[in-house]
Amino acid sequence: MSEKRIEDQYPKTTVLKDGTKVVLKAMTHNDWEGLREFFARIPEEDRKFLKHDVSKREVIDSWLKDINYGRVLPLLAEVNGKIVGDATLHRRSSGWLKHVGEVRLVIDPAYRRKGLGSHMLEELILIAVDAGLEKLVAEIVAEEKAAIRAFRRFNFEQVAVLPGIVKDQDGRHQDLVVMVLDVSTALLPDWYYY
Amino acid sequence: MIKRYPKRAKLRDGTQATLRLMVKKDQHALYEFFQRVPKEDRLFLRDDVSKPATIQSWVDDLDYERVLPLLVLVDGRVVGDATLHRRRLGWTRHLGKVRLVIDPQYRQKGLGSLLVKELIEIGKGLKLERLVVELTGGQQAALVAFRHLGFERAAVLYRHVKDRAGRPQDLVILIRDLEEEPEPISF
Repeated sequence: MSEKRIEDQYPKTTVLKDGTKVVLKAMTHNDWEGLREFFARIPEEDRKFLKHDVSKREVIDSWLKDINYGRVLPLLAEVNGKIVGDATLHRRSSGWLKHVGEVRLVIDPAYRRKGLGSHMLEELILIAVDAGLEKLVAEIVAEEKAAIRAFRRFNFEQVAVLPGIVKDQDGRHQDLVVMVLDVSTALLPDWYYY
Repeated sequence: MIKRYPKRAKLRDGTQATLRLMVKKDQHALYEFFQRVPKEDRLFLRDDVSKPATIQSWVDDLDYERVLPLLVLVDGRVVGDATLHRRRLGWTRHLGKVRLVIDPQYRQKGLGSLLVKELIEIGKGLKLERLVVELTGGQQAALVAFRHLGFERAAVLYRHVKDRAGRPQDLVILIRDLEEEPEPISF
């Protein structure tokens, strides 16, 4: 199956349950300011659990420096021109994990519980399927129970917990939950299981 | 830390070897080394080392703070490469990931253990808290060797990775605490 070009699929408009109109698009160099602003809106207690310290300019700089959708595809959700969600799919071009993609998701608190996170995750799963990926991995700090529940709803299963392995921005060690979705079963309708 | 190298070492069979950090001029020697290593043993590498451009980009972006490559040379040829990967920022900034490749003709000579012991000392010097290594469930000899060096199984991801034939293999994650010396294994 040939991969549809990301550029041809996005931007896309979608509507959330509450009627909010959202534009989904792939990140470009022009999103520097928008991303800075977006991450500034993420509360401290969530930001400290992110893989990268997004309060540092150089972190966002490094993302925009070598944009390569084949390696890292950052899907952004915009409402009235403001970034409110960032969902990224990370892939490898070769090796033993070539069939595995990693997903990361950050949603503006003001836009949570509206189905935006689920919507973006579903987009990434469709992109992953189209790209021929077989598994998706999500790494979530154990304290982020809501995030873990959200991934669970998409049939991600907890495959490991690494105790105290990561260090948050406050310097505290946190347990990391590793969740995996077998993409080949993701598309099966519910009735298949019964 | 860099002052420790180059170092002389004698392998289990008496072979004289030199340990030192990789530098730009090692580009060709490193490329040749990877050509001698079967693809099966290179699957865990993130980049395709069969392409000269890959090694080129490694030497162009050589940054010991991110990737510290320790080479073993015998008669001027690279026979072993152990790298310590770090992230300056983010939630794994206190960890070091170990990747190890040994020339098939130089295995069973204690070379892998020698390199990993060096990375353990380097890691401690850099005040890292733990080292992480990933292996497949099929790499029994390596799993035992790392166990002897104080690494413990932290997780096994069932059938998570694929070997060269596309067959699923378990991914075993091992962790070595650098702050507290693990209990030595007694037999």
